[in-house]
Amino acid sequence: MIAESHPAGEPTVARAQEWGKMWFRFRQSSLSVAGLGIVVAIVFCAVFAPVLAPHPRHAGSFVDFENSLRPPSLKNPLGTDDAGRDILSRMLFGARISVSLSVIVLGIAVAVGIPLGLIAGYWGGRLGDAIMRVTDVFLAVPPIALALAVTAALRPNLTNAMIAIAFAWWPWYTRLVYGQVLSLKEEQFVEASRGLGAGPLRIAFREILPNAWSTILIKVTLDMGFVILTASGLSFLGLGAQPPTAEWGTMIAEGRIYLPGYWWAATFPGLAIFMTVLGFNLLGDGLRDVFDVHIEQWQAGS
Amino acid sequence: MNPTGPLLAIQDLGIHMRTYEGRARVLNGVRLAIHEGETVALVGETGCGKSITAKAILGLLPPNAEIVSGSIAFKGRDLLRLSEEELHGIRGRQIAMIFQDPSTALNPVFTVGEQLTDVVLWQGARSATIGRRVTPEVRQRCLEILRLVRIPDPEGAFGRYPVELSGGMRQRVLIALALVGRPELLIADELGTALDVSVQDQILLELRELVRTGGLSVLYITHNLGVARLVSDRIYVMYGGEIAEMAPAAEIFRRQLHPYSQGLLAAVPRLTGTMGEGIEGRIPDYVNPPPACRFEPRCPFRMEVCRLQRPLLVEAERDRWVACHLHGSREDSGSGEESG
Amino acid sequence: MGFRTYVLRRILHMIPVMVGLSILIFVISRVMPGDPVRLALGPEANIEQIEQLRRLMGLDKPVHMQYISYVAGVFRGDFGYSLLTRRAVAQDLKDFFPATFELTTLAMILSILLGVPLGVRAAVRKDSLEDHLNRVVALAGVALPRFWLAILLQLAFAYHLGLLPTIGRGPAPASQITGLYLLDSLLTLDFNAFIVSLKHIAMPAFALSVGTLAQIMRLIRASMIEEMRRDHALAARSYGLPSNLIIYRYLLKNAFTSTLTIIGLSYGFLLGNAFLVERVFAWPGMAFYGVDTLLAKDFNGVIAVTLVVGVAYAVTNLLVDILYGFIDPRIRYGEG
Repeated sequence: MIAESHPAGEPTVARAQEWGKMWFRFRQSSLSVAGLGIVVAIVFCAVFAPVLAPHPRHAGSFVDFENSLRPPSLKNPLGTDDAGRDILSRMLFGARISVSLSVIVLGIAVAVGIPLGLIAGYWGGRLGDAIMRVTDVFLAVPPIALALAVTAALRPNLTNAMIAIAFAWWPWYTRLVYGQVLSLKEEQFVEASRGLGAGPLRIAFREILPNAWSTILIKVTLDMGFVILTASGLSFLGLGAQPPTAEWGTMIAEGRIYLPGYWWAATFPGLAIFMTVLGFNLLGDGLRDVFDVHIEQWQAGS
Repeated sequence: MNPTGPLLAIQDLGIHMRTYEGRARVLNGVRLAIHEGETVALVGETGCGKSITAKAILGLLPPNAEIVSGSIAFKGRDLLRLSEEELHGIRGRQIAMIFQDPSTALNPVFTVGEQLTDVVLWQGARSATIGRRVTPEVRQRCLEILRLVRIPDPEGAFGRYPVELSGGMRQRVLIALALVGRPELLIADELGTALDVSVQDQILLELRELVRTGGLSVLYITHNLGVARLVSDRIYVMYGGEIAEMAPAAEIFRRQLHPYSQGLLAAVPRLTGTMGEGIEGRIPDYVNPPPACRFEPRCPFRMEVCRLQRPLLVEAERDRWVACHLHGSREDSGSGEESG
Repeated sequence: MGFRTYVLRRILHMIPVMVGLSILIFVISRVMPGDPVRLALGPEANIEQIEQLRRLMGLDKPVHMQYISYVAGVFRGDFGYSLLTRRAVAQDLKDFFPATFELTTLAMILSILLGVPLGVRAAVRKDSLEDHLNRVVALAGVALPRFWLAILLQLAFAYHLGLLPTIGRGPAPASQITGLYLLDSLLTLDFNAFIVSLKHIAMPAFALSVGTLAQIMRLIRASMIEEMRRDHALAARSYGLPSNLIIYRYLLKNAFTSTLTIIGLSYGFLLGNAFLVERVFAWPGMAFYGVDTLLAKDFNGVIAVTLVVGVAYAVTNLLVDILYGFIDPRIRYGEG
């Protein structure tokens, strides 16, 4: 129906222009561009960690007590930890862990949360009510507290931390999509395609979801940072990744024992978390300006 | 200055606004005078620059506005040259404004009494401090003004929030807020437009009474010629940020000199009644306005000269001023000063 | 719908959510791997001792029966027995909850007290250098890992400058009334104890508040800018009201009202982050206890802590809603 109003070929041109305009608006804010830069850099580090790291072997259970807790030097730009491992190398591998963990957690949250939100919002009825009630229960405690409770039921390791966080995270997407569906449901174009005889499944996935995607994209971007923050917190408490895994939170927990004398072991990994989360926040903020969408950043401020 | 001169005299006022599209020349050489005890209406369609004129008088222009020319003399003092502090002393106590929309111009989270007593207590103060109390006299003054604007139960209204009042009552509260400082000049922006016609008429008549007994001078801003005729002594017709015509209220209804005024009046009897519907075309683009006469593109009588030369506001007949090439200046017009 | 009905409905809505939460947590705790009883009694214990403790704790009954008796217990103020501390969980909560309550409340107060004026300033000086700086600081505040900030604060103020104690809550004031050291020492006019408590709580409260502070600041800025554009703001200026009255009384009340619900929500995140910050400062609070019980697989403790967090969160949001209705008459009269 909408496509009919465009002569053939025009939509692609229009779309390209649309993207051009968005990119222009995005570039207006130097902070947004900085955010994109940080995110690209972090992802680059994550992908090429084995190549970039001066001592790739130090990412695991490597031990070299002779070089234990060396301060930053040319050989070890950010110093070494208690087992003599190069902190910079471990931080680069940590990017790998954090980014992939966040992608997996949000992948699960999106895969579970969005269909449930669509069902609850579009079909409604008893099933919809039930879904939203369950969602409310999950939202009744802050995500980190719920994730902590779940880790108690599992053996503490990286995979289980991931499961625990995903377990606490999906309801936010259900609620987000639910709200979007409710507001889009009455829009004209949805009514129109309903009038044309489109089935509920088609309407939900072809009409409503594409119109909610910018909101979801912004939330995912912001959440990338917040999931990393939560995961590093769990690991810091000893309920996530375990030593000798080069996870940032774990590294801080290990390095903390040697404060205040050997300050570098605990401080640099924290800087990595901070920069990563900041990068995703700036990027998400920039996207929000571009799409002019207002969503609460509150949902995941762990 | 001149003690017998007008209370307010706007001369050659030019205002530009910085917008996304570019510099919008929203006011272009506006000239307007209000004498003591006189009620003047400024009439024009939405977006013609009426409200900007009003805000310029009070020094309440938005930050993207820029005054490029002219003066606004109030009792001989040019308001445009006053500091923010000096203007602050004038607002509310010498010049007050009744805001257009009673549903948005009252603060929703304060009671009528709180808003009114704050004005009584703090009007003109440089900064509010802790410790000034609501004395019985202050309260008395507030109730008095509420009674003056015919609010049926002043004591009750005093403690109510705007949300608890009807539109008409809210409008009356806005009038009370404007009058409580005993101003000499009152600016009423689209008074009652947001209300039912019957309530609007009632409020207009009530205010006319108040103005007469109080000896106030009033500038009515309206898009409705009927309202203008009902309340005012003299009418200025504004088009595209310029004054098109000025005439005594009764006379302009008999005969209009400017083609725009003719179109306006033709639009009045219609029930739908929005201004300008009687005239083809739209209000001009302020960023790239027509080069000479701004009404030229819509004018049924346009001539070659209208695109080349800007028509000046001249006294075409006694007490009747018009900016149109169809009308020349009155031969014997001695002074350039308009008179009531 | 009247405001009273609205509040009543909010309270009624809380009940199924809390029941659901208790079931959720109960089920999670029952699928814990390993035998917590065996873990608690140590390798020396024989089968009879283990069985006896199981029976004592009702673990030999079916799960739904366990749940029912647990809930019945909760209504009597009995949260079961802690395998970690070897005493009633209710007693543990009574000891540890005030510390967390004191910490999170102070952090909230700090966030509002600093965040609101900073947000107003940023709004008044919109687009100035200060405003841009504020934005960067606010975004950084949200992105800072609180436990890492806590460590940095320790390094700076405790180790290097020696101004503040590194960890703990300090000695309890001579007489305990509420369990909140700051309040108790003030009530008994024991100012020395107050200073000592203040020194101990300063770093944890600040570390905890940073994110909330930053978010409140941004929100207040945004809604103040919105309020300044409103008709009633211009009207207030036209009456000749002083600008400080307009900004701090008229506009701020509106702006604060619209941020209130969000402030309520953020209390939950303060509670969540307390688990991390209390750890770093060895703050003897409920979150600290909660992590200990987690590590020890002490499920009664875990359930109780999670429930208390849930209830505290729900009650805060309820209070905020009531306050909201109290401040904003439009809510009370069912408009907007």
